[in-house]
Amino acid sequence: MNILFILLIPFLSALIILLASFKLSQKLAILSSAASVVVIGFMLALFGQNTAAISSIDLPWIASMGVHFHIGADGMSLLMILICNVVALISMYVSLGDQIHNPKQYFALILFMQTFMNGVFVAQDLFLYYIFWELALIPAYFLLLIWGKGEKLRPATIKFFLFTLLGSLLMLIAIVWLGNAGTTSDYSLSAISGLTIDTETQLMIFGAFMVAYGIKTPIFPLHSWQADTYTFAPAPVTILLSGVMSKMALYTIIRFVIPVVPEAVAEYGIYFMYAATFGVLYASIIALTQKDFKRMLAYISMAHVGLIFAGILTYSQAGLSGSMVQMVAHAINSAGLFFIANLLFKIKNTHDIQAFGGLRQYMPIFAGLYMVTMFGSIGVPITNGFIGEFMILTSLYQYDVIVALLAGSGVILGAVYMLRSYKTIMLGPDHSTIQTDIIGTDKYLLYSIAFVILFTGIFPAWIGQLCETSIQNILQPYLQK
Amino acid sequence: MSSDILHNLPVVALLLPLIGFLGYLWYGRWLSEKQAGTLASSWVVVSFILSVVLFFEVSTTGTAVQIHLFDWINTGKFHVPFALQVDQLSVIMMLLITGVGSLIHIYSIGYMHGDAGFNRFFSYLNLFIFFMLVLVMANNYVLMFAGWEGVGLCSYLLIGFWYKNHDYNTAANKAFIMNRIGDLCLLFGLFMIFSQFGSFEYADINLQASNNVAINTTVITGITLLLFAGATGKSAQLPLYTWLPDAMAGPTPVSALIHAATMVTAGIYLIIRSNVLFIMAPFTNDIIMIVGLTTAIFAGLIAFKQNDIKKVLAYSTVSQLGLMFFALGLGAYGAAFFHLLTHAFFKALLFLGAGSVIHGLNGEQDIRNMGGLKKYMKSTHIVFLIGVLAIIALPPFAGFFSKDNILTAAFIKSPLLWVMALISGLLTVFYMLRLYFLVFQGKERMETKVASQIHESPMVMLLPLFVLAILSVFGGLMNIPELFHGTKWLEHFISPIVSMSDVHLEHSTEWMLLGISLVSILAVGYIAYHKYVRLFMIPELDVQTAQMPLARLLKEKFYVDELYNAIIVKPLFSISKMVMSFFEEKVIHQITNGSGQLTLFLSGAIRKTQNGFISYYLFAMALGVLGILTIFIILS
Repeated sequence: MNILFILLIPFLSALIILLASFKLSQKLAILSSAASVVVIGFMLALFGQNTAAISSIDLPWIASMGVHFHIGADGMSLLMILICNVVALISMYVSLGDQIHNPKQYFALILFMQTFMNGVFVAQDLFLYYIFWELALIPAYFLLLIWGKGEKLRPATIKFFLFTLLGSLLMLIAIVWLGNAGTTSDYSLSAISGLTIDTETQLMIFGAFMVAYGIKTPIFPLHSWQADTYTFAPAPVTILLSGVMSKMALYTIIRFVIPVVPEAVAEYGIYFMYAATFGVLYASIIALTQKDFKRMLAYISMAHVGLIFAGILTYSQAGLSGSMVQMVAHAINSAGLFFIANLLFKIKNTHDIQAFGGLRQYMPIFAGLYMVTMFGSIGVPITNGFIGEFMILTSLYQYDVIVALLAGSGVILGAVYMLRSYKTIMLGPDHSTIQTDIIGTDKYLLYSIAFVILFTGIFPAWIGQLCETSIQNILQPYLQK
Repeated sequence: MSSDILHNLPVVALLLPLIGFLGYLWYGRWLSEKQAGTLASSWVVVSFILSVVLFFEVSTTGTAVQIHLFDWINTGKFHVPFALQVDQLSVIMMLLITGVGSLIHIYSIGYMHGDAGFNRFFSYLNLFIFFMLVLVMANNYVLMFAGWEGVGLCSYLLIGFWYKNHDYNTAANKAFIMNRIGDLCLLFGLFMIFSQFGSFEYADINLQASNNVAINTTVITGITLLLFAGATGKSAQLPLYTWLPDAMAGPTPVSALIHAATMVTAGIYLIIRSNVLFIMAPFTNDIIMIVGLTTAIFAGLIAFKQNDIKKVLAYSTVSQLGLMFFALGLGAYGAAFFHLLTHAFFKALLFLGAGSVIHGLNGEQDIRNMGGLKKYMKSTHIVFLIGVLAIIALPPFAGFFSKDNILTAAFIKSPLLWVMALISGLLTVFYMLRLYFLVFQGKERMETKVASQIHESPMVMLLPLFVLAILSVFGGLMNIPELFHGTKWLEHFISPIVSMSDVHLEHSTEWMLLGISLVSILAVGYIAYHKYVRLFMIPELDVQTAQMPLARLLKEKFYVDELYNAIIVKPLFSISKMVMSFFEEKVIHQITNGSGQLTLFLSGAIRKTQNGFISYYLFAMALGVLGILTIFIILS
């Protein structure tokens, strides 16, 4: 099966939606996302039987610059694509309940974003990768600006755009340098990984990349765009931003940064680990007293991705595998939590935690599913949040105790802010006017999310298996040196 | 028995309670109270029967049953199997969990009768039994940790069972969070274990630890200290004990099952399970001993001035757990395990008895409003008395043998420790008899309206009490020491996991120690009797307590909660607000926004150069050419 399908399905669907009647756009979008999930599921099944089953494409594109249209996928890429398309499907479903103006443009933009994010995960040519990366940003910008809500929406959107653009520029410089470092201009990953770069240059490239990905993830202190953006964006877009876009950066560190500048990662990675894990503590502490539920979730997301960021930089099998497991977990959990925020918003038309109370009495199903999602986010064993966190913390501990302690603070603080907000919103005497539980699509979607949280918590081993070869290939060259 | 069936037995025993829980999710709403209660109890009873079968299997073969279900995670060197191990230690724990668990399930059918959340309550109990079984049946630390956190989760659910009550929810959160502090320490212990041994499986670790003499003792000390810190959270020891008294917010059967008999003993189980490591860490053992003894005395003192029947029992539990840790610190693992079991019997009995009292008095918990209940609740009175006699270690009740074991071990270490342990025991004698006398003896202090409605509990509640009473009387038979011509069966049985100590006291010394402790127990008992039965003293009102500094200190539990609030909770939230309002908004946002403004400012300045006048451009161009020429000339 050709990997190109995974780009074509959402891209063509987006074009069709633009041409079709606006009444159909929602249905078409969901159909398309569902098709993408089915296709990627099929690909995973094929890949499981024969790792060569997924064929790649390599065509000369901009000949003068040596740029190829080269896409392909290994286990790790397939996993990321799975995350991307599942989260996109969730995002589409979450959009279902909302009255969206201009649905045509809205769904087309989400599908474009999905296409380009998929592109990031399959690109085997650094220049092509860069183009996908930038293209993914554009729909996000418009989705945010046109469908977002909040008084500071415009400044927040501009900040988001400029921040990521700054990162992109640094990245572009590094990519162009790398593309021309060899005897001929060649941007293919295999060529660039084979380069021998002296340590000083490695450091500069590493720095440029890491600032770019530190912004996108985001880690401390490059996170200032994130809380506003996540808060003001419509819930489905926040789900995409935190569920997939942050993973683009994390994935790239594994895929490109580690193989290309291994010595710099080993030598200077620790500083970024300190920043990221300090960010875990920092974001967790801030989350404690947030009054706005969505903003609290934004900081929680920052704490969680900070941990993954540090886990990747441990440069170890357990750290990288754990990070992959945790990326799957974070994608689902943050999608679930932002979905819950959206459901709450529909009840009281606010994100203010204090406005809620005692919902559990009339909403036992909502309360139960919210609780499962919450425990997934806290990382209680047998939910998906545990095993990845455990692996990352184990490898952080082996790398540096202080980093592990900083990251470990989230274990306690995570329980504090989640349980406190749950108590305020769900428990206590009832004083809400809503007396019906969640129903229909909302209910089934939240059920599915809770199911995935428990399923991947009990059976995460397949994630490790799927990525094992990819990770070994990435670690091997350095370990041999 | 064929090995095939044997292979599946533990899995079935483990999964039955989980099926009960999942079943509730599926059809719980359509079940009547009677159906739900019977069904939930049956799962656990069957699980108990299977545990009995397993017990006979393990005791005849003498080997552990190992079952590998699937790999939880397996990548590179990082391998965590989802595997069970039923050996001598875990099979006894299984008997305890499912046995006492069954009794408490049955009791709850009566106790929870008429509660709106009846079915939900039973589903949580089932889930708890499942996680507790995971905890003791795991063959590695990570799976054990899953059970460990799982029981904490159930404890959270059950403390906050009546979720409309604000205080109960706060107590539930407190329990979960304080446990998490311990859990983080435990996690770091696991990280250290993995770094040192490269495995999480008990068998690997024990093998390496006993064979490899070159292991760094500092590392072992670190590991054991962290494991112990984890245990202080779950087993409510200083400094993390304050959640347990608050946890009494949950329904009384929960206090009996989770917060007395099973979950809180998980810390003791953990240390017994890891005894190979702990034996190598004398420093840690001393710490455990000191913490255990201090907790035992500290909690015993607080119990003096508590007037809530459940709070007295809660502090008593903290104190008794402290005694078990004390024994662990002495290296008397067998004695600690023995006391764990007998304590489970009589403390479950006492809690359920207290529940029967509360039930009979329609929710009254203040012992100042009780008294003379022996007249109204004859059966409850008898079994509660048995529980009291067992906990104060009067021969021949179960508590006597297990406490005597610990005292003997203390004396071997140092007579001073023996004295300290004896004092903690005497505290128990006093506050337990105070409780008993104030509740069952003396004058009736209920309002007449309450008194007219007092009723003995139904049979479904009394039956479990009778069984526990029998166990509290005869439980000591498990481990009769040589002094009484016994064979210490229990310690022999678990000797494959915990090697027996071979230090013994002279029989004459033992008799003397026994005599001293017995006489002092009787003396203290007489003081309590004199005070509360002959003089009819009742605890003073709270306003009066406030006048007496020492009594107030005890009543207010040494102000530990207030202290934690002042030095941890409040500062944490102030820091959070400060970080947000200052660092996040003033520093981080200002820098980024500032750089944006700087750009605008600079671009504004540069824009002025683009003013559209040709002459200006020409002038600039000329200047530029001149500049380049100058540079060219200088360089050449």
